[in-house]
Amino acid sequence: MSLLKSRTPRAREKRIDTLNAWLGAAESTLHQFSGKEPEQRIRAFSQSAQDDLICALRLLGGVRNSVTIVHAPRGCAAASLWRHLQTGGGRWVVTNLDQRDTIMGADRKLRQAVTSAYRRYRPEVLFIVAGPVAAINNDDIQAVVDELRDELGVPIVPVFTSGFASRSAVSGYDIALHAIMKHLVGSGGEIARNEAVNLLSGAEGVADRLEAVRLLASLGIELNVLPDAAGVENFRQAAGARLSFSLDQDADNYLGIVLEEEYDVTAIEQPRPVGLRATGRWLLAAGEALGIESAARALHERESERVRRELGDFTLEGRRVYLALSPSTAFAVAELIEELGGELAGLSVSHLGRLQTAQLESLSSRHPALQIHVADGQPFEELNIVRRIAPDLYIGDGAHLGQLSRLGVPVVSLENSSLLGYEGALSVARRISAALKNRAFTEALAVAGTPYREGWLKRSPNWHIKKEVK
Amino acid sequence: MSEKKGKHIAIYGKGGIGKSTTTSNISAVLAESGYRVIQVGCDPKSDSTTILRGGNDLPTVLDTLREQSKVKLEDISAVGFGGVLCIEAGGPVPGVGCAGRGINAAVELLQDLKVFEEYKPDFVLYDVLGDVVCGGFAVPIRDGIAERAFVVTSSDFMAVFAANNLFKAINKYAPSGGARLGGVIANSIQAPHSRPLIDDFARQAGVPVIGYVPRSMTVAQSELYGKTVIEALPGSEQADVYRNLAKYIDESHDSVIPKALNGPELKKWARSWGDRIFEAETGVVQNMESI
Ligand SMILES: Nc1ncnc2c1ncn2[C@@H]1O[C@H](COP(=O)(O)OP(=O)(O)OP(=O)(O)O)[C@@H](O)[C@H]1O
Ligand code: SF4
Ligand SMILES: [Mg+2]
Repeated sequence: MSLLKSRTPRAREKRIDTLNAWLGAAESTLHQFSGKEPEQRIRAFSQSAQDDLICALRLLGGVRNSVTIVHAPRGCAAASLWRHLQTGGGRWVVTNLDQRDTIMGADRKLRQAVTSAYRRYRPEVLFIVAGPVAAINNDDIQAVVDELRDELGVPIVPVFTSGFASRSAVSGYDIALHAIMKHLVGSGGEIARNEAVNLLSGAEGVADRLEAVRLLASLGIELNVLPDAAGVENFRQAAGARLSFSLDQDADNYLGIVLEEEYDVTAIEQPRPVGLRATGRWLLAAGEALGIESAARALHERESERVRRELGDFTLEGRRVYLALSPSTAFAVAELIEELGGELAGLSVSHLGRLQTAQLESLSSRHPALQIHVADGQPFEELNIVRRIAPDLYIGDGAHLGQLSRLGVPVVSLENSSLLGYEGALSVARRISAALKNRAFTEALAVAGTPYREGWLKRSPNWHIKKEVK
Repeated sequence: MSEKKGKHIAIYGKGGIGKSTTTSNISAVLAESGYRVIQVGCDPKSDSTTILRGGNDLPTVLDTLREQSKVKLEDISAVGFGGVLCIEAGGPVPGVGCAGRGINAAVELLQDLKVFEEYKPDFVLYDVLGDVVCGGFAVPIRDGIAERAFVVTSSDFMAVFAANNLFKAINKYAPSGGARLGGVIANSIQAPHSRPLIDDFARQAGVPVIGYVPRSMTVAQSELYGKTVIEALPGSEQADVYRNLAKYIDESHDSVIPKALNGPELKKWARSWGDRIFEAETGVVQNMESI
């Protein structure tokens, strides 16, 4: 059966049992995944969190020469702004649905938006991303797509996000990738085989993508990089590639699955190349798959030698480090911290599903009591945990740095900075070293104290995480 | 949507026109002939499958979803006459929520539970509430859930009007993979003009009338026993009428995109029938008039 037949893929919590709310020791976290289905928990109080729309927009904004039409009321477009401000990438417009559109349907507005966006920018592809209003009133996006695709002669891809159908925001990556493959490549047609290797890179910063490309290209591997910075042709080429190799087994997983199941392109999933050991394993896996192991090994030895030299006597020995990152990054950085001699103080991950079971298993066997917190957003919970643990360093993706700094803990943000490969290891080490040395700023912030009252902070950090009683 | 297993058919028509009765009898015949059948009531009233189940209670999909987060097929289905698997989508409590989204969610749940892959039905019949009131109720004929729709109508103008609305919806959705029309089921045929009126309407729309179901006491009687005609009075003429309907649905694969009349056309057409009925009643004799 073709995966691409359905309108959308299954939500993460259904497809791979993704949890969105949890706090517990590594061992009992692992235990959650030992049975058939983990027990879902909900929050009785929640601060900001992302949704599938945001993740989809983020991914689509990276597609080269595209325009994204946000089919939603104007506020939903704020999600696009984020990426725009971050990377300047991706053109987008919003249909600005109003009262009348919610009642009468808004296909006319959508048609207008698509047509004028096409005339103005002449993109290679247009994405129509559905917001909650379009999802609730069942706006007929498909009809507009069918009609205008022929009329304008350009691929138009409907992306059926809703903002509410899944609890896991990352479902939005899957929805966007599903739509791209379904409408740009399709199923059943003749696929021309080619010699390239797909490098799946869906949520990486530019520096990280370039580091991965540098390494693989220096082994003489012909690369087809997608979906970041990819054009329509890259997606089509991907379907006939030799194999796929992913940079992030969480964000890119679904693309790998589609390529494998739909087009027979084997997907190789390795934990992210973060730190010397993991980068070495990652390169060797590529080398093995392509029959160039010795070249890969030589490259690894050369590069790690260089990095070790540059790191000199840098060490995290005696430092307890707290991590708050997306799951695949968190587990990978955890290994890097240990590689640098540091000690793990705890982990917050934005979600946690079966994609990380192996890494969770390994972590749990090393540190069964290490606390794992699953939360998308939720600065209060995170701050409460970090305050109790009082680590020597906090490494996060940027979202909560402001609040966390006010605890006086040195912080490092990995957002938009290099992390992957040899260059990434060096860059992280430099940033950590700077954060540990320059304490004055966080100490000054700490004077202001946290924004939460003592009464709140006294409650256990999982106070608001409840078993769903139904 | 998951891979199509079996023939998925949606039955539409004005409220109270006989959709559930007709659908249940068709399901009963198909099951009796050895097919695996699922009937899904897409209606907050959740009374679609009552006469297949002898009136026993069946929790609806949405009620069950409200009560528990993990739903299994056993929780939301009951085996009715001849082995028909009965499911009621249900809806929000009256006065709140969106029933259309409810149908959407119920169908999604069935797909998630892989009901169609695992139960492997030959037929899935969706009994859909009222006329097409909005995007929500068009769900079964959109997105490739049902491949064919049938519409039940009597010769009452409002029923014809509802049928015409369904034609409009099919016109809109069929080109992008929605259902096509299998035909019209004429129900409650009683007055002499009923049959020619429905025939004429169907001819204008370019669709076949696949059967004429007389208004009959056997239906009312069987309903009082909580049964389909097929179960309660299998030897009756009415039972044969339903058998023929089911046979058509089983054997024919024809479907069309109907031509819907616009407002003024429909009005003009109705008026012409008003005149004809009046003349017939008052005894004006015209050549070639068949009523
Ligand atoms: N051919 C018939 N002869 C006699 N009675 C009939 C016939 N068809 C339907 N009825 C009766 O009409 C009533 C309404 O029928 P039914 O419930 O099937 O309609 P429905 O279209 O499903 O209504 P709703 O829109 O409310 O779901 C029932 O009492 C039923 O027994
Ligand atoms: S949108 Fe349609 S289904 Fe939803 S409440 Fe309104 S009428 Fe009912
Ligand atoms: Mg009914």
